[in-house]
Amino acid sequence: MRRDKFMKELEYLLQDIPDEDKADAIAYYQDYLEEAGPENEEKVIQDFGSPERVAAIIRADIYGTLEDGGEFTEKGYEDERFKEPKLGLVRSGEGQKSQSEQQVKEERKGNSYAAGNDRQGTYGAGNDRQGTYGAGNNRQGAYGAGNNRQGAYGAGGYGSGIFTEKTPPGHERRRWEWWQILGMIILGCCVVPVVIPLVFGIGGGAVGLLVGLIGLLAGVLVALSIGLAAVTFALLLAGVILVIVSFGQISINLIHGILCLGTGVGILGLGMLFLALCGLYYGMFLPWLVKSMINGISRLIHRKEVSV
Amino acid sequence: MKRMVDEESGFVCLCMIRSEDMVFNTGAALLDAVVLAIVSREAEGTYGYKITQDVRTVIELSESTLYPVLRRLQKDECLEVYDQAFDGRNRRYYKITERGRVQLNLYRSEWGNYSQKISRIFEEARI
Repeated sequence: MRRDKFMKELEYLLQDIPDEDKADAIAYYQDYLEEAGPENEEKVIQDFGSPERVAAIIRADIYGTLEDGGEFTEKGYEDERFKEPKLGLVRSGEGQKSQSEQQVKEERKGNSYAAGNDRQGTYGAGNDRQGTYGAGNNRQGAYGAGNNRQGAYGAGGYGSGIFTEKTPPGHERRRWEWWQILGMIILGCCVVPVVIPLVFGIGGGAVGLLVGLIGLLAGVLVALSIGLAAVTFALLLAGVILVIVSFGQISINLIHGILCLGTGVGILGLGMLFLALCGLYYGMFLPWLVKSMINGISRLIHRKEVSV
Repeated sequence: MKRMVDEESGFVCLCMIRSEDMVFNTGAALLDAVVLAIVSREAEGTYGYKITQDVRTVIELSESTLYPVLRRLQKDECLEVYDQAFDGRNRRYYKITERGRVQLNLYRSEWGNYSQKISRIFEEARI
């Protein structure tokens, strides 16, 4: 979205708030885009999300903190909380309303367990994209007594799961233990045959075809996984047996024995080669595949990193 | 294992923590503290965009989030603002107040206690 359009829409959405607050907020975001410069503009606006979302952030802050002593009055509280769900209702159905209501109820109980509310907050943030600003108040009471800003925090227009610590660059992904990889492979083997026919049954048509293809791929993969191990094992075993047998043969018939020994050693070597291939396959390719699969799935589920 | 977020997706539960994941949530108080600390570094004050970028070096944060935080800190008189012409327009600078410093100091010592305890637990942990 272009900057002018964004600011115009934001301004429009903030019609109902006091002029001073509106001017302040508009100036801030205008300024922000100015500082970001034309080269970052697109990125920043994208990160802002919709104008509705930014408007909700601004509004939540105002209605939350302008109350005396930073406390929510029942009225002001309700106003704010039920305003957004309505917006959500218009845009994306009943589900969010009940979710937000649940959130409100939970908070009314004075639930101060931040983690408990976190999930709500995350959902709320997720809904932001559709214009629901449910993320609001999950922080209320999460901060220590003696801190006179409790109310103000509650009012803060952001959900949790939002500000998170950045993992230092040194802490790259954890190494995978063999049992974890094995567990995943087994899980994959169990889940794939169960899930795929299930989805196949429901989906049908194009989805069926796609899933079928994935199933085929998975089948090939499983066959390859088992086959590789089997071939390697067979080669090694055959090599060892031939070598052992050849020792017996040598005493009976020297030529036969040496021939047998040679063949055995050859096969053993081939087995070793396959063993190395196995190491590469199970140690690197499969973990990579599973990992990227899981990443893909989780990305699909989370779709967008939602943060306020 | 990562649990909380992964309840949503179920399958990902098996997944180890990835470096790009948000692992620990940052509470509003901590965010306030970080913002105060960042602003306090500049004697002449600093502006919204810069503060956001600085915060983003330590905490994952959306570009739009800091406005209510700065406003609240301003309202609580932990920060003061002044406008100064820059590049033919007004740039709003945020500066820490005396009260802000007191608050920051409180946050810092609280964080010291807290992080020390947490670190100790992790040091004692047997992995």
